[in-house]
Amino acid sequence: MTTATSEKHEMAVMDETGDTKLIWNEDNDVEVEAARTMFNSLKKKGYVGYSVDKKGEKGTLLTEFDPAAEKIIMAPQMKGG
Amino acid sequence: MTHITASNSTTATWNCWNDTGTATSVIDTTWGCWANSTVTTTATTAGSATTWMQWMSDGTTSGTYVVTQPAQLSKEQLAVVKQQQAEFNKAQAELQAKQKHAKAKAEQLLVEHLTEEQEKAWKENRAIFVTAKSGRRFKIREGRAGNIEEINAEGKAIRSFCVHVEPYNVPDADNVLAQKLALEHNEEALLRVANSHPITPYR
Repeated sequence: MTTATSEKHEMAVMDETGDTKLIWNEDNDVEVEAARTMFNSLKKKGYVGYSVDKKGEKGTLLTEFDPAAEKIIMAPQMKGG
Repeated sequence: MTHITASNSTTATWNCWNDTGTATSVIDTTWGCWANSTVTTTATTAGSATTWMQWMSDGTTSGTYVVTQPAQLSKEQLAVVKQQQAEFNKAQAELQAKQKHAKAKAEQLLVEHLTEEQEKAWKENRAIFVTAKSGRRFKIREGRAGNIEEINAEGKAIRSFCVHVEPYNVPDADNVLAQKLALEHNEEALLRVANSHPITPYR
């Protein structure tokens, strides 16, 4: 039996509004799938995902969606100026 | 027109503009030519053929100048213009409000992901220092492009990097956060696409 947790995970997608947030609960398959779909869609557009903590101390470059990540920041692709 | 020499006050730029160099004639100065049809007449007597008059005329040399008065708008037309102006002003105000809100959101997202030291530096100087996994140290200033500098062991900027998020309408604070995250966790990929320039001691 799986015990549902209320811990929310968050994906912040940088855009012209500042950012748009997507929330998922790791135990909710539908929400996880929606977040994964969003992550993969953005990656195809050149976005780069980082798993971060809220203190700015830790971070990891994500090559694939991690449903256990506390928070993910999706940054648009970089271009030389 | 004469060449300027330092030995003669009459050869100053203004004097050259207003003088042929002889300082004895008004009409063949640069200004005189502009305002005259020939160098043998004066501006006051040959008005219709002067450069100025031609500039202002309808193409004839008759001295008749066409000045089109703005058409009088009807009440209905005025109402339409006022309506369009009001809609434009409203759209501009909404756009500015959205941009202000986006800027504030991006600022919050950035500050949430700065270390205490970075947050202090950002609030004081609108710049943060980042140490990449390679050990290289960078300074990111608030901005869009050309705002990253590599700092050497003496604390001096030795190289600048021009790289920014695409699209361009993402707020600057988002851009800074993306640059910080990339330098900390994806340094090689960032520097591969960045345009970089050495910083000379004169800069």
